[in-house]
Formats: sequence, structure tokens, C-alpha cells
Amino acid sequence: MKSWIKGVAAVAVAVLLAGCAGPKFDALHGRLPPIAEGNGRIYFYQPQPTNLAAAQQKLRVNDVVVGRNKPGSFFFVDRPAGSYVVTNLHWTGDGVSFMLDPGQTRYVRVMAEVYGATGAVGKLSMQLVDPPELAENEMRGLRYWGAASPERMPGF
Amino acid sequence: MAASPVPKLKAWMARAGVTRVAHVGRALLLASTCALALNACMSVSTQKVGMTPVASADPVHTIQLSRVVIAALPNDSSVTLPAASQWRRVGALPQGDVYRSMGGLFTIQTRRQGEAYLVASSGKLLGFYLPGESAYMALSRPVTLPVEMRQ
Repeated sequence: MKSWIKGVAAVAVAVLLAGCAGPKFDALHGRLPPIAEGNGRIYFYQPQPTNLAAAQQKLRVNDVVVGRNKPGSFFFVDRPAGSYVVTNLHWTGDGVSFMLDPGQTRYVRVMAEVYGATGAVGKLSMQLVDPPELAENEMRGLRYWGAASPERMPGF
Repeated sequence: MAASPVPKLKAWMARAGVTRVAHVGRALLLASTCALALNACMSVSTQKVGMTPVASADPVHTIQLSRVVIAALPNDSSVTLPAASQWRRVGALPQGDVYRSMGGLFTIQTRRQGEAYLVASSGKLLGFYLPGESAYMALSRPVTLPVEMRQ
């Protein structure tokens, strides 16, 4: 009886977790909302195994928090064309900076340092990825994770 | 005669691991100092500037490099401009004309990775304009730009 209950609980947890995981980039391609006129799009993605015990950190666009990193996941935000600095930690000032043109899409790869076979995870680094095909290829298997709530894509 | 409380206090601190905590604290402080020092090595001084963009009525002006150009950055790293790379004039700074890469994203690595435009005057590369930060970074030594083609 007890094992039966445990089994049902395990299935319920698995279903719940599956519900938390967003759709894959491949599945979303073509269903994403178009970029509004005068805006550009900034993708954030972390092409690392989902079981990586990486600390989630706040990602900031011009000092405004837009979401958090998560291994195996991606999200995006739309912003008016202009100058942008993307950082995670205020005190280091690391990150990337770029010009976002109207209708343009920029890709920011987030990577956590992994120390050999220990699995220990260090600081996060960011890189601007170009050309877009390279970034989209790296995002192919990643799941939509969602930006900070005001900008999360509805329905995903 | 009463015993001094100092040995007792030292013994208590040793038991409580206070000495070890102090050692760890010193190690963390040292590591943080090293990290900040390394970070400072990568950073370069820049100055905030406003670029005047080319007017839409202005003729398009592009240049192509006839050979590789290697420019030393003030933080002792270097940046390579590929041979045959093409650059389009997009504006001007008080320091010179500003050229944007026509072959995709061009970046330089300082404290952060930044998209960079060339700033050139009188056939020399003087520095880089970082459009994401609206900042100008001067090279410590200007480099001749071997321009093969102008339009």
C-alpha cells in the first residue's frame, strides 16, 4: 500500500516538473511574437546540462533585472533600439555591451564555470554570439524559461 | 592570587575555531583582492562621448583593409582586424570618423565584451567607439590602416 502511494506521488511530482519546463526552442520557432516596430530582441541562453548545480543569478539590461539564468534554458526580452549593457553582478561590471538596431536580434550566451570532474560551479560569464545561426543552433534543445514576470511570454 | 583570564580566553577561542575563522577570512580577503586586481588589469579607461551619426542624405562611405591589422589595447591585450574586412562610416567623434563592421559583429574584450566600432583619422586607427556604452577608448599607440578600397 505504502509503495503504491509512493509511486503515485512520484508520478505526480514528475508531471508537475514537466509542467514547469517550458517548450523547446525548436517547438517555439515560428510561434514567437513578432518584434514591434522600433524594437529589437535580446536572447539569453545557457547551453549547459540541466542537472548542473549552477547558481541562478539576476541578469540585468541597463541595470534593470530582466530574469535569471538557468542551465538548459533560454528567454528573451524586447527593447527599444539603442545602447545596452548586460551584466549579472553589479560589483564586477562584467558582461557585454552592444548596439541594438530596430528589428535586430542579439544573443547573449551565459556560461557557468565548471571545475573539472568535481562538478563544482564557479562564476558566470557572458558572451555575445554571432552569427545568429550559431546561437540558434546552440539554443535548439533548450527550453523556454521565462523572463521576469512582467515580460514573460503569455501562454508559455 | 587570581589566575589571569587571558590564557582561558585563548583556549576558548581555539576551541571555538575563532583562529581558523580568522585564517579563512584572511584567505578570502586575499582571494578577493587578487580577483579585483585581475579585473582591474582587464579594464581600460574610456571616456563618455556622443557620436554624431551620418546624415541619411550623406553618401555611403566604406573602406576595406588590404591586410591584417593588429592593434594593442591599453590593457596589454591586442585586437585583430581581419584582412579584407569592410567597414562602413556611421558617424563621427571629435577624435575621428567612426566605422562599423559590415561583416557581422566585431567586439573587443576589456572588463566586459563590447561591440566596437573603429575610430580613424588621417589613415590611422586611433581607438574604438563602444556603442553599447557610448564610450571612446583610445589606443596607446595609433596604427596605420591599410585601406585598399574606398567608396
